[in-house]
Amino acid sequence: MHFFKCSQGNPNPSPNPNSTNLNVSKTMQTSYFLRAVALINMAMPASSTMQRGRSIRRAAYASMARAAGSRRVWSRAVLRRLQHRRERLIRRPSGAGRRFVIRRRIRVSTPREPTQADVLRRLVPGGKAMDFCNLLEETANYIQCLSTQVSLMQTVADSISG
Amino acid sequence: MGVDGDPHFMLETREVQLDSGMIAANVDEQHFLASAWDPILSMDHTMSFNDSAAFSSYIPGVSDFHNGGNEQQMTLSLSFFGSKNQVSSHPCPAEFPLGDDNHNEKNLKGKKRKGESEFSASHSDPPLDEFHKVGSEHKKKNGSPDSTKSSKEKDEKKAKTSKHGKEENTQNADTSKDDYIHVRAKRGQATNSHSLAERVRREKISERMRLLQDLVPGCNKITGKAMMLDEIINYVQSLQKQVEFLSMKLAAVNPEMNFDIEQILSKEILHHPQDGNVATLGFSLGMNTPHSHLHGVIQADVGMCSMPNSEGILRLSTSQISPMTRIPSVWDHELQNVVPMSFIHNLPIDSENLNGDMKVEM
Repeated sequence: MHFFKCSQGNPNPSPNPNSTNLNVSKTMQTSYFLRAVALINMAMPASSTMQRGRSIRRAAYASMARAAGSRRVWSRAVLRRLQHRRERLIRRPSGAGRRFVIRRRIRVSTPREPTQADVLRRLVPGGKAMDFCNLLEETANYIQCLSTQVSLMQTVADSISG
Repeated sequence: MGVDGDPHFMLETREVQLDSGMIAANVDEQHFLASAWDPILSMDHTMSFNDSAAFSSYIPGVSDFHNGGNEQQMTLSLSFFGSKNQVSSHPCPAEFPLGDDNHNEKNLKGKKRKGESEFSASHSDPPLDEFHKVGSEHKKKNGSPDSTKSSKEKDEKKAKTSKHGKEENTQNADTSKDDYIHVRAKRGQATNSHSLAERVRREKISERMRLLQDLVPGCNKITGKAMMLDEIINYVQSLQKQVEFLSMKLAAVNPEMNFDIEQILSKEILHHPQDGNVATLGFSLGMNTPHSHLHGVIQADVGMCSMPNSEGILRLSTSQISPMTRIPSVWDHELQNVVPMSFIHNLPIDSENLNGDMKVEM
């Protein structure tokens, strides 16, 4: 039995350290996602496709956020969201408790029409608390990770059905 | 200031966090307290010039500014002192105006953060000190703090010739250890502090937009912020919808399959053919030795570590992967967020090796 650590120190000197990092995180993302999907299939084979689909979607975002690390605002926001969901489920596993928890969103009506920046903020996780400049940077990183995740899922889907 | 023609390019500090869009004029004077202008002309270092012609970067080395409150100016002064220690000949200025109002502090904080993030502190000190020397002489010349900035601006407008431009640029990169990013007003542009800050901000935004343009496919021809933003929004939305769709597809397909991890991984990896580090990574599919009751599920060969290519991964036999009920994973605590709870509870959750591994890469 051997225990492997995610290790960047490798015996082989890499010609391109950036690609190593990229590859590392991609592999981590892949393995995490695959593991999660396998667990989902194992855990809830009888659930509806919708529920499983939603779980798989959460797994996708979780693996994306893990691969991106804590340095990004959006990845932290994603993980925080999942964590809160977790805590909520733990505290109130039954629906009976829910009636005491009504999250009231006090609606502050913005008279102006939502600008593009607002829309982007809504799309990118954690975007509400950033100024426009950082928002653009986070968007760039988010797009990168999203496309990686999409290609990963496409590969998985192809290898399963193919 | 015996050097009339020399470039006085500390004319503006670049405000990073433009929440208020204000720039303290006093910041400049603080900056110049510790510098002298004379040796600038004697500096002959070559520097890399930033892409934007409007910037001159002058970023004092900040040891750490994670102090809260009003210590920012303290650290600013310390940084100046620190860098000045190298030059024994030059007398240090008495002190910085430490008792500034919050306005300055806020701006300083913004600038410092930027300086830290953008520039590495790996520049040589001597040029920095010379630069500092230059500033203080200049400052002494001018006397009152309020006139400093305006006179500097005037001077630098005068001095803005191409020849001096080169020198400035060389100096700028050297002094990039400093905190501020000083912006030079181009010829014919307003030198108001607000407009300079605005211009800096706009430059940053356009730089980011260019990055995004490379990321989003098919955006080469699109010019204009509004249309670019539309494209970006559409692209993000389409990506998210794709994730949604693919996850539904996987959910529909999956129950009947025990998918081949190794196959998928090899595909994934071969898509991105890189050096052979892949095999050493992420495979806490391997077992955790102390928890030997979780044995027998997935065994990865230790030889994988030295495997230069993805073949090592393929040693994970499929049969071992299928009984995945007992995956000991360092990610279990994370997976709990994703997978329904009840299942995870059945697994002996391994809490020891939690984040020790994962954090390495991140």
